[in-house]
Formats: sequence, structure tokens, C-alpha cells
Amino acid sequence: MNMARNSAMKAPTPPDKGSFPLDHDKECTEAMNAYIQCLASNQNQSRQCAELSKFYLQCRMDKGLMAKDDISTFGYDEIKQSNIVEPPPKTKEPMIAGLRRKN
Amino acid sequence: MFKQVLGLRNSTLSVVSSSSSSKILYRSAATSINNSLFKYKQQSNQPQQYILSSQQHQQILRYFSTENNNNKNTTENNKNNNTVNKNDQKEESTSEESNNNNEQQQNQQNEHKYKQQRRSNKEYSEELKEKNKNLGMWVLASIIGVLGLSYAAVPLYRMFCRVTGYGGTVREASHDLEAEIKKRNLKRDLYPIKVSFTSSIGNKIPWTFKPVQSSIECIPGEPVLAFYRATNHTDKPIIGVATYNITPMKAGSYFTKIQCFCFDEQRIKPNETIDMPVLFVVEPEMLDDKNMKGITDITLSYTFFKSNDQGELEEI
Repeated sequence: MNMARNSAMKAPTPPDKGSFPLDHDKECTEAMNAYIQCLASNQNQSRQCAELSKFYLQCRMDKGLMAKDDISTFGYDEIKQSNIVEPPPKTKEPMIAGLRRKN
Repeated sequence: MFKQVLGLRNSTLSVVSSSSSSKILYRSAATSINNSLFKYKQQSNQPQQYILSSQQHQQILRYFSTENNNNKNTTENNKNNNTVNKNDQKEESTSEESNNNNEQQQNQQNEHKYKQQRRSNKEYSEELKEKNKNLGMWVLASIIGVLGLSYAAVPLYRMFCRVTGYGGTVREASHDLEAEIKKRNLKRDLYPIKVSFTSSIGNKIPWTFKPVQSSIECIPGEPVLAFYRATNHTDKPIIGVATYNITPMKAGSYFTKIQCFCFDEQRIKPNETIDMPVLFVVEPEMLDDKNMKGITDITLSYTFFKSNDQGELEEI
């Protein structure tokens, strides 16, 4: 019961840095379009377009559409330390009712 | 021998005199006395004489006389009582005086006591009044205190939540957040997770709301930027509120949003298209969780509702 509650029933928490103010004047649309184009060309892989996302966020901060903060604290740099591997193969065993799954 | 007989007689006489219906007993006593005397006379050489001694005779007479006297006394007693009463009255008169004095004294004492009691009653009642007054003030003060507490509870609770972060309150200290972001240990094997984006609108909202990209392949621990686009087709500004949802449900705890446009009222001008960004991170701990084993797809779905409060927000 507790496990179910912990994992599934967690109440939606507000975002860490709050809510983005709306960009009514379209001040940062160019940065956004560049990022979207990068995503489209890189099969929607975000790690290829990290620089452009940083650029977009910096634009927002400059135009007063985002609380000013050090970009390095967002965590874009730590990802370079990681080792990217293939996802584990999905077991194609069907689920048999009553049988304990072999993990 | 006489003494012996006298002793017997005395004892019998005493027995006789004690009971009211004593004549029979007396007669038996008399016969016994005669018998004893007879025996005595027989023993002695003197001729038989049924003679009681003078002492015995006197005693017997005295007994009879006392009986009569008793009877007489019952009649005389009434007379005597009167006299006695008179005497008593006399005595009473004398005693009455003393009694009166006593009574007077007692009355005085009583009055004194009564006065004292009255005084003490008065005092007591006054004390009571004072006590009641005090109690009333205390009760009134406690009522006001409790009312005040209930009013003060709102800001107090807010302060408490802000300090302790109880119940998911967002803490305002920004250094904690920086520390949290930096703490992610990414010197490890990570495999990419595909995050899909979907959107939906509440009923009767005359605008379109769609994600700009259908999905992003991201790595856990890396901040990812995604966009949603909304278009207002009406001529009036509309205020809307967005909520989000993560599927599968158990992955929701590992999905951290750094910044988004949810839970806040967003005002869109008439005939305006607006781009709304979402900055999120998938926690790398999700890859270690055995419950999440095999999850490589997460769906983030946003739903836009029309806000109940359609008041005019200030133009930014």
C-alpha cells in the first residue's frame, strides 16, 4: 500500500524554479526556432542540442522573462561525465498469472 | 437463727416488694416464713406458737402500708403533682428567670451568630460576586484569545511551512536548489529515455494547444527543454490554467520540472499564438529502481483548462 502510494499517488509538486512568464512579444522566438530545428535534425536527441537550449534560456534571462541564475547550476555540464550505454533488452516473456516474475 | 430467718425474710420481702402483683408472692413468703418459724419452734423446747416477732409484723404492716400508699399515691400523686407543679412553677419561675436570662443570652448569642452569619453571608456573596467576576473575565479573555489564535493561525502556518517545507511547500532558499542540482552523480552508465509529449484541452476553450515536438530522446540527469504552442482564436483574452500528468504513474516521482507554465494562470491575448517552454530533468535514480526496470518511455501530457477567474490581469 505504501509502495503504491509512493510511486503512483504522488501529488504533483510545483516546479523548482516556478512558472515561466509568457513571451508575448516574441523576443526569444529565434532562439526557440533554432533549438527546434536542431532537435528535428538530430532525431530529437536532446544531448546534441544542449548548447542551443542554453542559448534560449540565456535569452530569456536577458529579456527579463526568467529569473536570473547561473546556467552552470542547471546541470548541463555534469552530463559530460556520464557514459551512455544501450538500454537493457526488454524481456519478451509473457506475463502468466500467478507465476512470480524472474527479475 | 433469727438472723438466718431474717435474712431469708429480707430477701423474700425484697423480691416481693419489687413486683407489683406481689400479694400472692407475699402470701407464699408468709407461709414459708411461718413454716420456717414453725420448724424453728419445733426444734426448740418452747410450746408451738404461731407468732411472728414484732419486727416481722412491723415489716409486714409496713409492706402493706406501702402498697396502700402506692394506691393512695396514685390519687394523691395528682394532687401532689399539682403541688409539685406549683412547686415546679415556682421553681420554674425562678428557673425561668434564669432561663430567660439564659435565653436572652442565647438569643443575643444567636443574634450575634446570625449577624455574623449575615455578615459572613454578605461577605460570602460578595466574595462569590468577585469570584464570578474574575471567572467571567478569564472566560472572556480565553474566548478572545482563541479567536485571535484562529485568525493568527493562517500567517503562522504559512511561516511554519516556509521554514520547514512541510507538505511539499517550495522552499525559497535558492542555494539549496543549486546544491540539489549539483548533487546529481552522473559518473555512471546511463541509457536514454524517450519522453513523448501530448496535450489536451478542457471543454469549451476556443483555442488550440499542441506540443511543438512529439518526443525527445533525453538522458537522465540532463536538463531538457521542450515547447508547447497555444493559439487563441477568439477576439477576447482568455485566462487558462494548465496541469500536467506523467505516464507511467510510478515514473512520476523521478520526473523533476525545473520550470514550466503549469499551475499558473496564463493570459493569452485575442488571436495570439504563444510558445510555452518546459524545462525538466529525468532523475538518474530511475535507472536503478527495480520497479522501473524496463521503462524507456515516459509520456508528459498537459491539459489546459479555462480559469474560473476571468478577471483582467494587468498587462505586462
